[in-house]
Amino acid sequence: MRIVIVGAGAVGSYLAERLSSGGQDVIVIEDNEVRAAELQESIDALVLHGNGASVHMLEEAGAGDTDLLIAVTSSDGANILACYTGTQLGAKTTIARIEDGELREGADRLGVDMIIDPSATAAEELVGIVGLGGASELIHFADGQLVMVGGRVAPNAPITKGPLRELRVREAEWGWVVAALVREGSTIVAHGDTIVRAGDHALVMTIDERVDRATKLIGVKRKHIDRAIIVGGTRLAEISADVLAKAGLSVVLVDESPERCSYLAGRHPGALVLCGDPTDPDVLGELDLSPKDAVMGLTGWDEVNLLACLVGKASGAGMAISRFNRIAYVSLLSGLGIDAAVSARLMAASAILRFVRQGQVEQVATFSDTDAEAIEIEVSEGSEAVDKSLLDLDLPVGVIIGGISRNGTTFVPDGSTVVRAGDHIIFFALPRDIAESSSIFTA
Amino acid sequence: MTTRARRSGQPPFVSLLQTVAFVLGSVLIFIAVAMTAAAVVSAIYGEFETATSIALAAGVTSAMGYITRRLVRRPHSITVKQGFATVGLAWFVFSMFGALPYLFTGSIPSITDAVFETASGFTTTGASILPDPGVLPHGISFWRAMTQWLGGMGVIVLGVAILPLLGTGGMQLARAESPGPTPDRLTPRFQETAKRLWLVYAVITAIEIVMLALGDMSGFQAVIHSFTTMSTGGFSTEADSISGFSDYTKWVITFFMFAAGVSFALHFRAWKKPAEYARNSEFRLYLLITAVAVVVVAGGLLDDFSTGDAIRDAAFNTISLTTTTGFASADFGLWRPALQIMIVGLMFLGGMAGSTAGAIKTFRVGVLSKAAFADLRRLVHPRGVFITHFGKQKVTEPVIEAVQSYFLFYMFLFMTGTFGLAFIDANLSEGLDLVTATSAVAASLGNIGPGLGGVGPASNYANLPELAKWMLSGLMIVGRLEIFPVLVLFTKDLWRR
Repeated sequence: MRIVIVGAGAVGSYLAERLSSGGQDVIVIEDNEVRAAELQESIDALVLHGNGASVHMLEEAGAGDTDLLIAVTSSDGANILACYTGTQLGAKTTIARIEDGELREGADRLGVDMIIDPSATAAEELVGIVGLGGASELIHFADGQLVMVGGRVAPNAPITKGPLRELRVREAEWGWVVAALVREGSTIVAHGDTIVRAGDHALVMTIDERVDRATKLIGVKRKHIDRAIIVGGTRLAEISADVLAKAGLSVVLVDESPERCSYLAGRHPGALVLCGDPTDPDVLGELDLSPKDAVMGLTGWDEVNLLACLVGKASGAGMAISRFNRIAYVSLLSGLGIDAAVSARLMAASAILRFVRQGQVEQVATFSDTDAEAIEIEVSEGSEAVDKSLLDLDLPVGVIIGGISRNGTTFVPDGSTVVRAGDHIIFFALPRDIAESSSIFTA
Repeated sequence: MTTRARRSGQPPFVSLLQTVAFVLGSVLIFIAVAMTAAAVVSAIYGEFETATSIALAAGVTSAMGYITRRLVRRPHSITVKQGFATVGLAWFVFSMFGALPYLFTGSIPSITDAVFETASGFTTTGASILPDPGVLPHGISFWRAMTQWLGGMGVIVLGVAILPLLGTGGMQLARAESPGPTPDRLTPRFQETAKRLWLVYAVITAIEIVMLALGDMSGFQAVIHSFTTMSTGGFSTEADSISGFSDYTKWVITFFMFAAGVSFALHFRAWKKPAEYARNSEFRLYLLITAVAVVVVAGGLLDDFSTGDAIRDAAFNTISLTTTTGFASADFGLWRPALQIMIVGLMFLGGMAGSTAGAIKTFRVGVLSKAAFADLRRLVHPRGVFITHFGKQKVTEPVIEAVQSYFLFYMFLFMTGTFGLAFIDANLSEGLDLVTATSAVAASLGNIGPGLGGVGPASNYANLPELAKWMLSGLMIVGRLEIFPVLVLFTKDLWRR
């Protein structure tokens, strides 16, 4: 697939790297010369220097015979123009990052097929995390019959008691498998000798009826959250306040600036607005935080968010979620006192990645702290995998088969399970292995 | 459940060795395939004994390649530094394996000489230790030309083009092996670009084969000389290089040497739009330098030769030297001293970035002179702001610095190499004069081939001391890989545990 990305900011470069390492033909247009040169050094894609909304540049990038044009510069106008021009030149599908609600209206008439608003996507994600109440992922596959449960492993959780091989013998009566572990920011593909440690982010695959067993295994106690304390009065904070209020939570907004606070109080009459330094323990202490509270650091400064979360957690909040601008912090800092981290840019990029993959596979899930993806794929007749056992498949190292759905029944397979045509396979793989793994299951 | 172990957190040098082993294994199998082709050629000419020996060499090489590849897993990712180091190490190793056909057939019995000949082949230098290549069996002669043809566009680039095995890492490897400061991308994926470059290379080689076969060369000679022209290698089947062939052949080779000094990415673009040549500022500079050099040399030859001969030999030998091919249509060692000094100078120029030529290259020559001119103007106008341009393109400070440091390293290696050769000479043998030492180092580092004096077009490198041959073989590889891939091998943090 040929993909043109306009704008090599955080979202654009992240997408370019993920898509090119996944085997797509990627062309990036960036108007900052230095940034363009840096990106060209690090990824296997063509990076052009120029204005990505111009007809000339888009023509040079071959937008005419491109399958997908993604415009993710920081300017809404440039993004819409790039999509408009791209569509005129013949690009099949276009995605634009548009933050302004007014510009979003009717953008489809300008040739924008999908609109990405990083803040809105991140707000949705926040509500999702709150709803999970302590688990970090709950992703359904195979029409809801298989579930991937993710969470931070608690101290003394059953899963930490010995290597996985022994645990699987001890807990043999129900089907489960550890798809992956994220430890200190790097993804570890679990094998028999792996010992899970407290603090690891574990992704466990199981069948729908066993979700409670799985959360118990990693020691996550599901909490019910009924109040959200949002730190910062940013656009993301405002959208999140609306979405959370709609989900039935009571909302508290905390901001330092009196003007911003009076604006917020006017815009969000249902919410309590506090004016004060969110990192000052007295300010959050005033709220008598309890385990039913979630603190969310959503200011524009990563350090303020992190600190507010730590203060909130220490003052008794049940959950703390921090927003990070720097994508690398998301995987590096989750677990250091905070329960989850979100990044608006990462969310936007992940939404686009899912959109790209959707056409090729049944379903795909992306994660905030690992590049790996969980993919559901139908085994086609005549593919390499048919009638072979999983151990005999020449899968890349590190690819984990998490579940199989066959004629309406689902199960977690082992090495001797034989693959049949028509099976739905859920596998977990790092980006570089996705194309190769997919090709084994499809003819 | 399928789970297989993945080692993480291994020391950098372990993952480096893993990458080296993997790449080397793959490349050795490639080289073995090329040897097999040479064995087949040998068999066609009825040299069954030679064919068997070359086939044996191919067997040993492919077995080693296969074993090395099986020893390690496919590397996950390759950093720029690792890519450089991998290519650096790999070139030294496959210069050893490429020597096997010479050794097994007994064509070159000494290990030193066989490795020298192979390194000279793969690096497209064209310096030879053979007094008369004409006596070689066809299979060995073919193998000799084959090493140059493979080395011209790059063995590892070929690996990246054909095998998808190296993924993103392939780009880092190929970049270390492609001549020129920045690889010119034709497509989003590097693999596709590599494929196209090899295609252009193969097509132009095929055209040259046809053109040469129409002249006074035999079909076999046409193939050999086309392989060694397009790679700017310069191995010939004759002891006196191209001197004995007709004017037609000399002009055809002159044309194709010039073409081999042009960026192959530019050839690809110009395929559809020939105006691309004229639009390219590096090409215009390359043309200008070539034209001026040819006119000056022709002027110098007019006193001693007829006008026709002067123009023909000036064009042939000048282009042969600037493109670092190293063919000779006349013994330029007998020319006037002023011209000989000019010949040493021409050895430093090289062709365009992205061509198969070696040495400093037109782009760098252009940037160096413009940056020097800007510095001069800065002296006159201390407050002035001067931006260096190459054509219409602005050249950024980091690029200028990289070019200047490349030049510095190049000259440093040239001087230390010359000293080294002089010292070896002082201890071991007699007969290495200044001209021989200087030109041998310049010709090795720049991948040209013949130098002057004792290593001039009419003689060869056979009489140099053993140690000198090893040093020059090393310099050829350093020059072919544009210095840095080899130099990073000597940096400390590469080997950090």
